[in-house]
Amino acid sequence: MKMEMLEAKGSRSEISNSAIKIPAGSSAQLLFIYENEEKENRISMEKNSSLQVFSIFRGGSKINNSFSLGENSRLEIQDIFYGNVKVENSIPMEDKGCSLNLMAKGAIRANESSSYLAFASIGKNAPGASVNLEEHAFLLGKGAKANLLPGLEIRNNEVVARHASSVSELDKEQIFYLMSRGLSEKEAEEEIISGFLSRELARMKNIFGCERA
Amino acid sequence: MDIDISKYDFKSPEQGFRLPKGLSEKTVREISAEKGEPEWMLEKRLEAYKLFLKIPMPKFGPDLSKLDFDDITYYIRASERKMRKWEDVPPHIKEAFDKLGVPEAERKFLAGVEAMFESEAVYQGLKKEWAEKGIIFTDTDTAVREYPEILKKHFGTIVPAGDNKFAALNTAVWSGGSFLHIPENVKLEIPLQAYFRMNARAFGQFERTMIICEQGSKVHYLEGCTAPIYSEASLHAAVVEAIAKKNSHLRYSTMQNWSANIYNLVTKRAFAYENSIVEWIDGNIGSGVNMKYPAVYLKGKGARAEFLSVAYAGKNQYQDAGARAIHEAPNTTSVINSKNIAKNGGITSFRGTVRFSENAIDARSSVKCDALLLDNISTNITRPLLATSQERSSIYHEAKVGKVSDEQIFYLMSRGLSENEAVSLIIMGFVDSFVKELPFEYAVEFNRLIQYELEKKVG
Repeated sequence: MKMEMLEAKGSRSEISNSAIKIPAGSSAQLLFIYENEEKENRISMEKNSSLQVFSIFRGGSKINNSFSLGENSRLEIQDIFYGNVKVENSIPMEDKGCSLNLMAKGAIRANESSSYLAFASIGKNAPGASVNLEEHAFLLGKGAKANLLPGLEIRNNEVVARHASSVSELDKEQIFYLMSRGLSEKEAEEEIISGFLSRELARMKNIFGCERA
Repeated sequence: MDIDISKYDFKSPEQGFRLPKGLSEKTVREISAEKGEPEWMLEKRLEAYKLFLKIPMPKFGPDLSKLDFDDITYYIRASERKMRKWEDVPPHIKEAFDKLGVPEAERKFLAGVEAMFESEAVYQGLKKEWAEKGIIFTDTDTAVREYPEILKKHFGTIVPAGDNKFAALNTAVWSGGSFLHIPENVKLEIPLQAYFRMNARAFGQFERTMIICEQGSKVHYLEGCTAPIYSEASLHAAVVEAIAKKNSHLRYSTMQNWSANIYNLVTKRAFAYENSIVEWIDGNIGSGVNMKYPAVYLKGKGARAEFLSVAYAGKNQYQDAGARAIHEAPNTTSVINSKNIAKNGGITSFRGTVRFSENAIDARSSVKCDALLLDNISTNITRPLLATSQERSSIYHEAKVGKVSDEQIFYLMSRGLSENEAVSLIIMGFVDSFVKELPFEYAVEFNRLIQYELEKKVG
């Protein structure tokens, strides 16, 4: 069974401070686009369900998500953030065989501040669980600030768990290369950032048939 | 063959002094009076005591609710520690000594049977050499009397009393610890060792250590020991302040193996100035609850910090360790490499912070924090925070958590090793980068210790 696409955008939000349940055996895709919003979402996944979540967090957003994963459920999160945003994801994994793959990417402009925290905890009764948490951000100008925390808590050893994060400026060599091919500095920067986000944007476009970023 | 029997000489206890349990302003005044301290130190202590009362307990990490500040003796003169009989030392501590091959005399000191242990013959020679170079290496109580200008200038500047509740407590009731001053351009190749190998008075419940490396100097300071230190005290709250001035190089190695009844809540911090290097080699094996996050504040351009740590948590242990690199100047670099191992229901936690201020132009940092869980009742927690306010900088972090690979065990067993031997070998490989950085005798003891801990069964 394929669930209907759920979408929340701006003040026309259909899912506000919501509780979403993904029924057993089903698969679903969610697209969230936030701008100047404060929200708390609670998403629970039942046995053997799978969920892909795509979110775009724009300036002024303060979002608190909690996901709970049922037995053998699979959660994939692909987030893009930019501007003044504060995102907190809490992901308790208490059932066996559940898996999480989170990839968050941010591009932070001058004088903007982004904070992206994710905390996954694998319980004692979740053997066979797997987690991959990744958070990466580019700082694009003076005064740009980033806080990244990919946290893990693991209470049994039958798991595969890894996490990685990075924050850096744009690679000057890449900019120089593109400029030597005739692009302006701004165009070169845009090119690199769209390359950085291309995988996530392409998947969103494929699934939702829209170009929102 | 000549045998150096002076190694086993002990000093006889002096007349003693011990305060009753509990903490009040009177306790603080009495400690200061007993030591005959100058007024400025008493004032610092009293100020810190007021802060201690105000500052709340930490809201993160292990549960500290069972810590009873009224049930602690805050001062016992070093020479007056209550000596117990060898027969009263718990069997598991004796067994650990056997397995590690700790020399007889060291065992007695570590178990609290003897008050002092000083390898006079070895160290007399070194002491002379240090004195000729102008190095000051003494306990902090002596430094208050003999080097007040240097101590007063730096005391509490790196770890202020108000930093956290336990730093305030230490400042109020501190006793013992090492004071080390390395003059300009003096480079010392042999590590300086505190505690029983050199200086019994450095060993204490609320020790206060200060290390000052002047411009262009180099030193390796070592404290603690791999063998278990048995103590009946419930709290160890030390403060370490270190300064690495321009072009200096400080390596600080510490090995913590307190007995499991101890709360080890310590604050260790260094300031690194222009082009200096501060290395923190940190082993956490013992204590029931350990909260220790060595920090380096990179204050001068080109300064570098390196952290290399191993934490092991067995039954009833919570190792909440980590590292903090605070970049406050351009071109500063830091590397954090942490290895955690949990077994028999133990909890290991890595709490790492890398922070770049606006001045940290072109700063770089790399963080790696791997963990092994040896059974399915143990826990690992990893919280690496990357925070930057400087766009011209980069931080990279990666880590993995898992168990010892079945495939690796199978391979080693097919080569004739037992399962236990195979697991030990894999774990020794996991912590190899840490062991390589230890002095020889520590590395040998550390290897034995890990093997001994791994042999312990659940229950």
